[in-house]
Amino acid sequence: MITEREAVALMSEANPVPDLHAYDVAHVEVTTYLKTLEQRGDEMIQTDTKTDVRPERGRRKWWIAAAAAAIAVVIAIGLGTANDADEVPPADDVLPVPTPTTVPTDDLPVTNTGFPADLTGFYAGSAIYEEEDGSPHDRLLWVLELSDDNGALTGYLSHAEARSASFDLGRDLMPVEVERTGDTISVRWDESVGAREDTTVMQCDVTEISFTAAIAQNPDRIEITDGRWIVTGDEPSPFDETCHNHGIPIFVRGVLRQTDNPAAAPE
Amino acid sequence: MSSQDDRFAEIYRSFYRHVHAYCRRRTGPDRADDAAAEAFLVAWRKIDLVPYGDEALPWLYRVAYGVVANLWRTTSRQKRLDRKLMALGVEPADVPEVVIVSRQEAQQILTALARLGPDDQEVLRLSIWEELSSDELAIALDVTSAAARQRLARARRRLADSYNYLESKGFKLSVAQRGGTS
Repeated sequence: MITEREAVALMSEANPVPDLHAYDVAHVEVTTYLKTLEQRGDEMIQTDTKTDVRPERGRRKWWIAAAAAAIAVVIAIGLGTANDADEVPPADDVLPVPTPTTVPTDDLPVTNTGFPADLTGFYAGSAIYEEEDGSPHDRLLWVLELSDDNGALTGYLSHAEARSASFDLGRDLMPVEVERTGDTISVRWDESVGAREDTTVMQCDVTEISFTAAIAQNPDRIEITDGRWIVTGDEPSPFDETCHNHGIPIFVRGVLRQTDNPAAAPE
Repeated sequence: MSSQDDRFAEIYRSFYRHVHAYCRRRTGPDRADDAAAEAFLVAWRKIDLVPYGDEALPWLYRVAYGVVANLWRTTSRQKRLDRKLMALGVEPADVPEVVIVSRQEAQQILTALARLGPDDQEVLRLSIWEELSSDELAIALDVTSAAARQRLARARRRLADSYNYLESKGFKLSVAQRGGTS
């Protein structure tokens, strides 16, 4: 067992570039560098009108944006008061997504979100956040991808739909680790925020809202027994004060069950 | 050169080495040049937004984080495979830190670091490797100083927990197992 201080000391010793003064960098002459930047900047401006701290943003595949827009619609439906409806793109412009079913808070049925049945190991579920007094708050759709490696499960949590693009997005945002002991599956959330600076694209903004909302609940552990999972959040989000608008602590309850209905798969 | 170019040149001369080191710590030597160049390209295009004085460096780190994050995204499928390999006890070979270190403890702490979420990793690297203060962390992370301190405290706790978890599982990876690093 080591302490936090010892862990920090170890990490300091493991610095790949420990001595900046001794660090030899091939230094480009500034004037030449400026000319290079000017050329590259002109090229990028021609191809990327969304110029910000993410220079590759505009060159990403169209389906990333489409998936983000789809998420935006779902999240906007779920969050309601958290988003300005004027900012939600028209439904015609985004990928078709299943509409989340209203989930009663006292008895949470499975919501079939229409995930392809041939994706074994994929679990779909809906969740409803509750305030401490039991009143419903937000609703998101989540996907938990599980794969069994010698009994140890790894997984990723997403609040997106069964589209490869959104899975990628979700994976970047919210990796989790899953361990199974008997009938209980314990899920650890790493609270990753891979897109915290996505402020230039509205859809990603909304995605981040949904994500930070999930963080606001800040569950460190999910226990799943007999297809029913309960997540308890017990501390405020350290990341964003706006999360506090969502109420803390909040209990998350839902039902998680593997989808096996091919007829439910989207067109 | 214009005054803006002069300012950029000053920023470049002052901080290129730092930003390059930042990128190298996160992407490895083969991608550090491109990542640093991308970060300074953003700085050049956003020169009016670059803070003056000591706040410029954490601002550049924030930009560099975005650049590096883009690199990570483009290799998300590779990362997924890496995670599965890690679950099987095999460390990805192209992680730059892995190439650098050989000591068991250092390997273990870096593996413990890799098990954390990207935000936890970033705040730890910024604090421990880039040696940013709380106020500088706040600029780099675009949060309040209090939030930065809280994040750091949580990340440090998780790092120790992760390390101890690996230890409890009998963490032991030889250099050979880790992809033939030298």
